[in-house]
Order: sequence, then C-alpha cells, then structure tokens
Amino acid sequence: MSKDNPVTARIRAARENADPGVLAALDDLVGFAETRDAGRLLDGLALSRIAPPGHRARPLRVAVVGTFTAENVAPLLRVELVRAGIDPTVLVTGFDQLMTQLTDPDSELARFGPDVTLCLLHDGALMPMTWDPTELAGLADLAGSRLSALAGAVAEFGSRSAGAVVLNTVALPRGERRKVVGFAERARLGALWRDLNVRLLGLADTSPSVHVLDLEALLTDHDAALRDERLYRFASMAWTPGVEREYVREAAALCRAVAGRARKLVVVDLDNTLWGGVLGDDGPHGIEVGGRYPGNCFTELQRALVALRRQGVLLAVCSKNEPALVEQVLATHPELTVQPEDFVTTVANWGRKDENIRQIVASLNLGLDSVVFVDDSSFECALVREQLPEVAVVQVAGDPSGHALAVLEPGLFATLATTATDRDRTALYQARARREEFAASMSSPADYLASLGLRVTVSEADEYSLPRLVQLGLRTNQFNLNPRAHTEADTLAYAADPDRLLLGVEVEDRFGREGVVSAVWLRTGAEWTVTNMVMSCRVFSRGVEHAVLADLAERAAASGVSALHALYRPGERNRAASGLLTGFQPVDEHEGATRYRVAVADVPPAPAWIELCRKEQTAHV
Amino acid sequence: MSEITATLVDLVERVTENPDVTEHTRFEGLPNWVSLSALRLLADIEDEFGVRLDLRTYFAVSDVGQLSALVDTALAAS
Repeated sequence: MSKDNPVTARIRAARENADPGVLAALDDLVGFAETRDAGRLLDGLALSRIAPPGHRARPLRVAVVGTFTAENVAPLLRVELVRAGIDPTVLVTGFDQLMTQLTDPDSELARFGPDVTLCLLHDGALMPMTWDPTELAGLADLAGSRLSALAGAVAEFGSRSAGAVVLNTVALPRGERRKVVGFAERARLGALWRDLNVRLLGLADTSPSVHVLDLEALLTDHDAALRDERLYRFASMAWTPGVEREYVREAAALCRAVAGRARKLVVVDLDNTLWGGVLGDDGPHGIEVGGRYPGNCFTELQRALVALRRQGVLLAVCSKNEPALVEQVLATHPELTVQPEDFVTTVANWGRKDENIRQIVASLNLGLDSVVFVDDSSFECALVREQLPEVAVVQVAGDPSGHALAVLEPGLFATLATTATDRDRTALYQARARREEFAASMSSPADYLASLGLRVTVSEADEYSLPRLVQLGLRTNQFNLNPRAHTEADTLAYAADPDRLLLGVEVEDRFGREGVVSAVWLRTGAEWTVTNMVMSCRVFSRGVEHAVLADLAERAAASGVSALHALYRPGERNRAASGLLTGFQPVDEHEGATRYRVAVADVPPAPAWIELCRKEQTAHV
Repeated sequence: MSEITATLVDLVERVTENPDVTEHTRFEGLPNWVSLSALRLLADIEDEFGVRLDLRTYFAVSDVGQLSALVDTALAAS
C-alpha cells in the first residue's frame, strides 16, 4: 500500500485530463483502502472522463440511510456500480436519521428521489442500549415494536416513492450475547433475535419494491469481526470495513438487477471446466465427473449451472473439441448432471472463442454485455477479455472445488425475483431455434408466417403477469419505445390506477407458448397515450407489434376514443421500436420524448397471419 | 526520516489529499482534517503496520512525528 496506487493515481489525474482507460483499470482494485479511495475520488467525476467513447452507463440514484455511521459504503458502492456499467448518483444522509428520512415527505431522502434506498440496520436499531437479561420477554416486545415502527416507516415511504427499498438482517454482537450467562436464556435470546430477523425477511413479501439482504447469513463464513468496539463507541460505526464490503457486494448486485444489468447467458468451456481432463485425449470414460474428488467438484459446478438454468439463465457450450464426440458424451455419459437440453446451443469446433461467442450471442439476439464466459484457460480468458470487453470472464483455475462458487459468488445473475417465464426460458429459446429451421425450409417469409399459426393475446395485468411485466420493463433494451420510462414501482402503479392501463401480451404458435413477451403502459382518458411499449427480441419480425396496436385501437374505439398517442425516445439500441410508429405523425416534444399521434380509424387491422385473442379478464389488481 | 515516518507521511497525504505533508505537519492545521479523516487514517495505519492503537493516545498526538513515535511504541509492544 502506498499513496500512489496506480489506479487511484489515474483517477486523480483524470480530473485534469480525461483518461478513457480508467474504467477498465477499476477491475485491478483489490485492497480495501485503495477501493475506498477510488470511490471517494470518483465522487463528482463525470464518467465520460474515465470511460471509452460510446460507453453507455445507466444512471441510477442510490441513497444510503443508516441507523449508524457507515462511512465506506458509498465509496465502495460507487466503484462496484461504475464497474457494472452504471452511472450512480449517491446520497448519504446523516447518521441515525433513518426513521425521519423515511417518514418526512420533505426529507432530504424524499427530495432526492432515489431509485434504490439502502436502509442500513444495526443491532441498535432494534435493541435498547440497556436491557435486562432476566426479562427477555420484555426485550422481545420492545425490539418487536421498534421493528413494527420501522416496517410502518418503510411502507409509508413506499407509498410516496417509486424506488426499491433495501433492508438487511442484523447480527447480534458478541458483547450483547455474552451479557446472558445462562445457557437456557442464551438459547432464548438467540431464538428471539432470529425471530426478529425472520420478521425482517418477511417484509420482502409485503411489497414488490421492498427487498431484504440476509446480511446475518452472509457473515457466518465471513472472516472479519462484525464491529470494532472502539469505533462504535467513538463514532457510532457499527460495521468493520470487512462487513461494509460484504454488504456492498450484495447491495451492488441488487442495484445491477434494478438497473437491468443482470447477465443472462453463461458460455461455458468443457475440458477442465465442466469436467476434469481432456475429452480428446482421455476419452469419454477418462474424463473426471461424478463419484469422488475431484470428479464431484465438476458435478457441483454442473449443479450450479443447472440451478441457474432453472431460474432463467441460458447456458451455452463453447469448446475446442470434435463436435460428434461432444454430442455423444453430453447425451450418454452416465455421470453428467447437465443434460443436452440444458444448453440453448452447443458449439464445439476449433475456431476462435471470441468469434464463437459473437455468433452465439447474435443467434440468440442478446447483447455481449449479457454474457458470462467460464473457462479454465488463461489464453482463452485473456482473448475474450481483450476482444470482447463487455463479456464478464470467470476463469476457473486451481482446485476444482472452488469452481462452482467462482461462477455463483459475484452475483452476476441477480434478479429482483424470478418469474414463470424464467423457468421456461431455455425451452423458449430452443423452440425459437426449431422455428428458424422451419423458416429455412419454407419457400417465402409470407408462407412461413402464415404457417406458424400465431395467436396473440392482449390482456390487462393481473397478479400472475405483473412480475413478468415489471421484468420486461427493466430488461428490454431493443424494442423499447421509451427506455427507463417506468421503474418497478411505476409499473405497479400503472396496474393499480384506474386512469392508467398496463397490458401484457402473450404469444403462442405451433411450436409452443412464448409466454408474456410484451408490455404496454397506457394513460387513458379523452385521448390515449402509450407512455411505453416493450417487446422481447424473441418475437421480433412476426408482426406482433402491429397486432398489439390493432388491439389498442379496438380498445380505444370501444371507449369512444378517437386518437392514440405514443411517446418515443430514440436511443442507441432501441431503433427496433420505431417500426411500431409507421402510420403515426410526430406531434410535439413531450416529457423528454417525441409524441406521435394516429387516428384510431387509421390503425390497420392485425396482420392476416395473426389471430388476435381476448382473455376472460380476472380481477383488476 | 525513519521508515515509519515516511510511510505515515504517505498515508496522511493520501487520506487528506494533501501533497505537502512532513514529519512536522500538525493535524489541526491540515485542510480536510475532520474526525472521519482521523478514523480513516487510523484504519490505514492499523492495516499497514498490523498494530492496534488506543484511541485516547491516538487522538492525543498532534503531529506526524508524534504519531510515528506512537506507532513505534505499539510495534515494540506487539
């Protein structure tokens, strides 16, 4: 450690002269002090001074509000978020202001308008300073009522703020636990404390915008002390820097999910990654997988990948191997936990991996920034890092017992909640591949569309579709009329408000159900305004958007409305969405977007190859 | 200047964003010197030297030279 850590020195210099290489260099920050200093130096520094031209960072407003002083959380978080392609604005409020910040409609926090509010909790938020170890029931009542007050404040804030609110479970410090000498009473204290944490965790079920990080669980195998008593007594610092780092890593993963920066695809190598040994040299019976060490370590990585796949992460193989041999092993090796159908595509050839990844991503219609590449080879990892800087590279090296956690630990796939579509995603992409084969077999695109048997169902959001609609709003980059127009809480408000309408679109064809693939946010009234529409890239080029528009026109006409408006904010990636506006005329600039208009009578009917369906409406949520 | 003092000068310069720190620099006179910077410096010193200081003696020192003597004593005791 010295004052001239190369990364912090570069950030300092970038204040005077822009240095586009700094962003990538942030990955070299390892130690606590240098990361903290980097985060402090990044405060107020425009990202354009440290990022390559064309870097598209997503703005995110994050508030840090604590029941204690957590000096390093903001700078550490800033580094993590900037690394993840987010341009954060961070507000830190004074210590121990949590309740007033949440409940006062004119508080610093309320005026800041956060996308994410991190409410840092320590034991002092629930425990009184003085408590009687012979009256544990009284302690439970008191701490319980403090927790109720906190829950009330969170709910009140949630009623006014559109952002996510993040709480955490709380560890009881050793000094408090040791005040009880009876083992029977210690067990009771442990139980009452866990009850409080269980109640805290339960708050996540009270509202989709409340999230609870299980910090107490994260600290069980954490190697640093919970708190430094000197700094707690002197400056109300309840967490050591090690705990702050642990918290920040988890909070940053959640912020990435809020900002739609979660990774969606794992591209995984085979030899010495998915199994031990080299298939070409050792043969199908010589590779290490299953059974005892080290084969069981590779099985554990496979279990981790299958777990990810079940929650919506796509898996693809990219291996330098003979394709026929790979196909045979994946299909028949008795010890493999992964099955061929877990993979959305399997690429085995002798080509360059960066080229292969490009092709995989293009065939799935995803962005490179949604990819995690897992490989044991330093050469392949360096090549991908160099050629495809947007890809997250996980090099699995050394003892294979660490491989599974190396993939899972960085929290690259974190989402706010998984949906039914996530569970079926691999099958959906596989159906898409079959559809493409079928398309190639047809003589013309029109024949192809006509023979697909497309059914499009547009319906109002209900409790089943709502989580998926929220997710579509956050994750969709390409077909997105008005990017970032609606936060999670905003979308929930659309579903609940009688003057607004949130519609979900389901698509089905002869190859199966695509599920809910599109969402429309509408302000109703004398003239209807589409404030946003998003559509998954899975269903591009089938005229689905025009069927949706025809449905909107029918709904508008039925309500006696004669014109539809739509807001379009062109960006770098959402040109696909402009196709919807064929037939619309630009009217004016409105809320930072261009407002377009079309007369309801001029909206063409749904394309001939699409059957537009209506669903029995369930109760309005 | 002793090695300990030289390292401390580096640490103080980094924490206070101030390039002109010497053995004789008095903390009270430094711009940006607030109790939180003092605690950041404490964390960095303890990390760097592997010592643990008594906050009362730490806050009693007034310049870098005295701090160096304090760290020296703590190192000898550890």
